[in-house]
Amino acid sequence: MCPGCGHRSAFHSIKKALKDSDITVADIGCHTLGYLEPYRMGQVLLCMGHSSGTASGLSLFNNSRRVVAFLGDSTFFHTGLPGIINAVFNKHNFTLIIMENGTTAMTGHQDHPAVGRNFREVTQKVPVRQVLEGLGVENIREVDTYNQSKLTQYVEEALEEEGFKVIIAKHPCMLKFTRELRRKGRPLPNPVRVSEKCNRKYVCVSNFACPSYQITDDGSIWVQKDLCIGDRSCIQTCPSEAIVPDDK
Amino acid sequence: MEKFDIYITGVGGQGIGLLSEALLRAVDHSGQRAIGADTHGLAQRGGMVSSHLRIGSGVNSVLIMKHTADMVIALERHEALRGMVNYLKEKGTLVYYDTVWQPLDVRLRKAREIKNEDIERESGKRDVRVIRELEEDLKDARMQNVVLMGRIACDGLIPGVSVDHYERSLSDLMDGDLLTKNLKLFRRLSGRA
Repeated sequence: MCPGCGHRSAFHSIKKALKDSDITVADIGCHTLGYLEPYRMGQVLLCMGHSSGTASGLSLFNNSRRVVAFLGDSTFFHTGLPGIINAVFNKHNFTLIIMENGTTAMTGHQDHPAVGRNFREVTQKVPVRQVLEGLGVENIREVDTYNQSKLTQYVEEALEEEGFKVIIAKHPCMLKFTRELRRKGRPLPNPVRVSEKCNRKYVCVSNFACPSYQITDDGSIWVQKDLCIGDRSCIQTCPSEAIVPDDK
Repeated sequence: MEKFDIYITGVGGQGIGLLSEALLRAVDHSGQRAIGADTHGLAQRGGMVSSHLRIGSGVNSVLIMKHTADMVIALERHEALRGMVNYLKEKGTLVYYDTVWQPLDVRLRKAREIKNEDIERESGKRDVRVIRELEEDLKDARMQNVVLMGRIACDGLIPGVSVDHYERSLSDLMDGDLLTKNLKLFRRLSGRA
């Protein structure tokens, strides 16, 4: 996943609320990359839009392993709706986390119905939340994924509740965002750097695993400035508070 | 010419797409036949990206078979090693930009970072010519690909392709300030400043 990706913050936070016995179901999109190390969010993957249906099946007669499904906002519109309607209609018991980044990122940032434009003109927006409400989903939470502690809290809460729960984990695609900034000639924020407070807990490089973080042979951490986009979503992940904006 | 195969690699986001398109066009401008293949999408999201570029009348498939590439061009050190070990033929040429974007296993502390000595050692085993590039003062990292292009032009590494051909292909792909900036950098490196 790209530096600054909202999905990284999401998976880092969601993972904290899950037990090893919980089941994670991935769908297709950039968020699929959460199945890779070190996040390992997504043990089952089938096809576009399957995650709700598969999660529903996995949740049946299952009182011990909680089921969490992921779905991107593009796939939500593409094929995700029937699975959600089914979850409402048959009162399935699982948590669906919609990863809303405002675009179809993996395939090149094509627009989707919630964006408010298509490839040639402005269109009527079809907001994700409104669609969920229209489909009769009652248990909806929404949070910016950069607000990692809040997202962890929401997942913990939802997992304790019965029935079909949806969490909209929202943050704009940062690759698209920085590309647009650069196109407009605007400067990116300064990258971050690792200060002397570093105690080598390695959360930044090995747990949060933003690709900007590099490790030297002697075990010290440095930030590759060609990669860091200055999003600062890593700062909150350091247990030693050692990550700071680089003022130079 | 029968064939000349170039395998281009690096990490998604380094401008390999542009570089391979520019090289393809340069070869085309030189009057030689060129076919190729790119990588898009998934690979870009922090993964390895590669392009195949095949020149000559004797090639039919766009994909280069392992260990048969005449040249490997890499925009990052780890990918340079990977590209050389997997795709370069014996006595081939490796051109690489010596920046480090550590792959996942290094960052997860499962493997150590590759050093230039590792590349030297592996190239020795294969009798490979290594050309290492690094512009310490380069302000915009996205122009690293043009640095390599300049070096390739300067040393005439692609048979039959001259500095003019490369400049024309850059003009095909960019205009305005972007073209001016890149041409300036290219000319400095290609020896025609």
